[in-house]
Amino acid sequence: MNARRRSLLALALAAAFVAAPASAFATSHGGAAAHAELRSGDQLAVDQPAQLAVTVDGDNAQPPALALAGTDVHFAGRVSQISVTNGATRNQTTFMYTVVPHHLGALDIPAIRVPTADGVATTEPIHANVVSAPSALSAPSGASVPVAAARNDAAHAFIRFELPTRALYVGQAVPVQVRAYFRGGTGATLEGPPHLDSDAFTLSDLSDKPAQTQVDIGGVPYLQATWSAVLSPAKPSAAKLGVELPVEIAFREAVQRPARDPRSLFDRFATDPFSDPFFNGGGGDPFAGFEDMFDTQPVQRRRLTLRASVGKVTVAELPAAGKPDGFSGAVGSFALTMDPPSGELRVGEPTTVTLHATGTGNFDRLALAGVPESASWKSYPGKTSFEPSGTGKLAGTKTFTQTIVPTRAGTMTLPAIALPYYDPAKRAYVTAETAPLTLQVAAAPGGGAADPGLAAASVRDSSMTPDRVDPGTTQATLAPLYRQRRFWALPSLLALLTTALAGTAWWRRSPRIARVLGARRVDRAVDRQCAQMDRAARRADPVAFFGAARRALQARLGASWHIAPEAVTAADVQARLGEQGAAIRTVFEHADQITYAGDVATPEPLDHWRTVVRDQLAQLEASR
Amino acid sequence: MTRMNLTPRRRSPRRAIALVLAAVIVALLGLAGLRNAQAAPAVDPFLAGNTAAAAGDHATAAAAFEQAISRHGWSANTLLALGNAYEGAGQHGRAILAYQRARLLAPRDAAIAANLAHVRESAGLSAPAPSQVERVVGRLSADEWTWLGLAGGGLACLGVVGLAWSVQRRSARVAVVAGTLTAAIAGAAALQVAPPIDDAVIVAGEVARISPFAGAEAAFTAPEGETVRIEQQRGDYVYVRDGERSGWLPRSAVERVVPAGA
Repeated sequence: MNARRRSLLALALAAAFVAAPASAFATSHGGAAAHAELRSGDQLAVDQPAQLAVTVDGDNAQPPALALAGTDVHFAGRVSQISVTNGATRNQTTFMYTVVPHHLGALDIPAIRVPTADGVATTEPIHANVVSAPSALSAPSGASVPVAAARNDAAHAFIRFELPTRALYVGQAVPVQVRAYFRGGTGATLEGPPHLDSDAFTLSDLSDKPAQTQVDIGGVPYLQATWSAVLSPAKPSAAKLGVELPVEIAFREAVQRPARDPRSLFDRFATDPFSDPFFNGGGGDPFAGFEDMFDTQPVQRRRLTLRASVGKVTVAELPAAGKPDGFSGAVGSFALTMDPPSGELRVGEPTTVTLHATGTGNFDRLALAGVPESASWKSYPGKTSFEPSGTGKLAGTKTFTQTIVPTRAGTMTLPAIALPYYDPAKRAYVTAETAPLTLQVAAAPGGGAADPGLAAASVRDSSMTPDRVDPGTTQATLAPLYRQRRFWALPSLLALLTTALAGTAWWRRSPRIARVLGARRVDRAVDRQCAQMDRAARRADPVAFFGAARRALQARLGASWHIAPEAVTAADVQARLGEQGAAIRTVFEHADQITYAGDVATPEPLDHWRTVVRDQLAQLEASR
Repeated sequence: MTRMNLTPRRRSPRRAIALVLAAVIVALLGLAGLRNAQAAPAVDPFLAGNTAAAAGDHATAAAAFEQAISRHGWSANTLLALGNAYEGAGQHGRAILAYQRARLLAPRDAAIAANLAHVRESAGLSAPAPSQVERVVGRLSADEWTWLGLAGGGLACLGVVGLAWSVQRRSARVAVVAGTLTAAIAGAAALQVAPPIDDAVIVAGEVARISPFAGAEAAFTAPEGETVRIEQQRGDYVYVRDGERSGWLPRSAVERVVPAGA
């Protein structure tokens, strides 16, 4: 039978067979029909909202006021619908109410009077039962929770528990993750953190807030909330392990119709004719689309305990055989390194050694004794700190800092430090060790050995570093150097020196300065030669006189002609000065004669030549 | 008959000068000796402090270490011992002050840092975690950064002189750039590391008041050991700022980390 024919048959018979258990149609006084229906059937859960629909013919009806003893009733909205059947048009208005019963037992909804334009329409009374509300999603199916409701809840929220291994040891710590999933559109309120359903384990370092992300499961969007934690078995056991998460979820649910079994004609007639696919094109409530459109579905709220199990987990005791000395209960995989003391070691002066235990495992149980006290070393209790390498506390580096004091001078050995632990992967005890360190220890100041006990007593708390036997280098002030006036003498001197040297270089490279300097050099050279000339004249020494006279003239002429003074000859003078240089040339010739021919006789006295030379020098200087 | 020359002998001026000089030297040596004799202690105060500390007499030890500092100057080891002594005597504020001063001299001394952190923790005081830059810069003291800056400045000067005299021009240019950069960075680091002049530590827990007199209304309670900034001084009171809070404290209740004139 196709859908259309089925619908027509249902509509025709609906007037005669209005006998649904939780619905009632009645004829109004004025001819209008009214119908009331509890959408969730005749079984209601106490304190849980249910939907009541009151449908009346016509579009001018007013929502009736409803009041039920011991039950909250809220008007949720109205939906108008026009349907055409075989050319006949029918207007209907449905008023939606949210009903929340607060008492167990029978709930009688009396006939509801609906004022319409054609008069008052009255529904038939409805009888329903109020039962206990479902307390948990995982409640036994025999409880009062309807199976359909439980199935719907499971579709809205579920939980997963992830454990890396099911074989553990007492004291071991493994990272676990709890993931809760909430279907898109479902509101969730956490009513507590996830917790284990077994007292044989402890869950620690549980993240305060779960990491939230959107995931897609089977094409359905879910909000995934993930907690990270550390699971530690407390005692040997072999039992199932699960996790529980109390939540309250809120969602708007599509209206669930009573099961429609098309096997019997009676059942077909007993069903709501408007639920026929003919009216909604696909099955379900004909008003569902409208209700979704106007968001008139009541919010369903459920308090649930989400549960998930990882199955049987076996916890074994750590083996007693082969347990090394100093084993503190560390389970995992670790490596141990040691930073040697820095600086020069001196008897009586405290120094520190630092041990780093790096790896993965239960760092809480990892303990190091450090350097043991011996005849060579005075040792103090150490301090530990932990630096996780990730977000959890199961991987990282535990640092152990210990103060030790050498008590003897010479070549000393720091013994190897051992870290025994149980490796669950190898299923054996393993000992990580540092290599022994050979260190040179200098004698105490003054040559004698200090008593570390004295220094150790100088602090109230043994974890503090005690006094040192040597006051060390002192300084007069705590003020930084740059705030001390005397310090600035040094940079000032540096700046002055640099300025002087750079300035000198600039000064020397300047062409004008170079000219001036050159002229001064020539003047000085000429003056020196003139002085020698004067002295030679006084001594009546023509050899020295003419030598000096020639050098003075050469210096002046060389500067003027930009050639080396020694290169200036009588020929040059003749060539460049002509007759103007006759006197100079004569002086050069006399000088050559005296130098090379030994002829010292001159017709004129030396004073005469001195005057001549000075005149020539003056003329040359004036012509410069 | 023995003849006697009655004419008085003339004294040699050289001899007189030598005598005067000798007298002056003797007098100076005597004065110096007297001064040394007055100043020389029977026991070195540092050793006396150590002995008192070892005996558990922390108050006496603290006094001896203070004396050692006033006599011999500041040293990291003495300040560490002084901090330990004050901590032993229950004076957290002065202990923290001593450790802070010790850190100025020996910023890489892990023991001083550890003791300072320990005392702060036991006094319930929190210190802001240093940034990565502060941690790196704090590896050297302000003086060490200053010397490094001066060395950079010297290198830059050398480069300038080289450029001026055209000697190794390429190397001189590198020296100028490297030296200037070093000087700038080291100078900034020195400024960063050195505590501000007005930084002070509360050495006695007091109530800070809104006005500089004893009867004024309380502003806040300044915890012993807290580092504050001195903003004003008036009479026997100083106006301090502790983060967002400020108020007047007795001058005796706070002590500058770098004492004035020290």
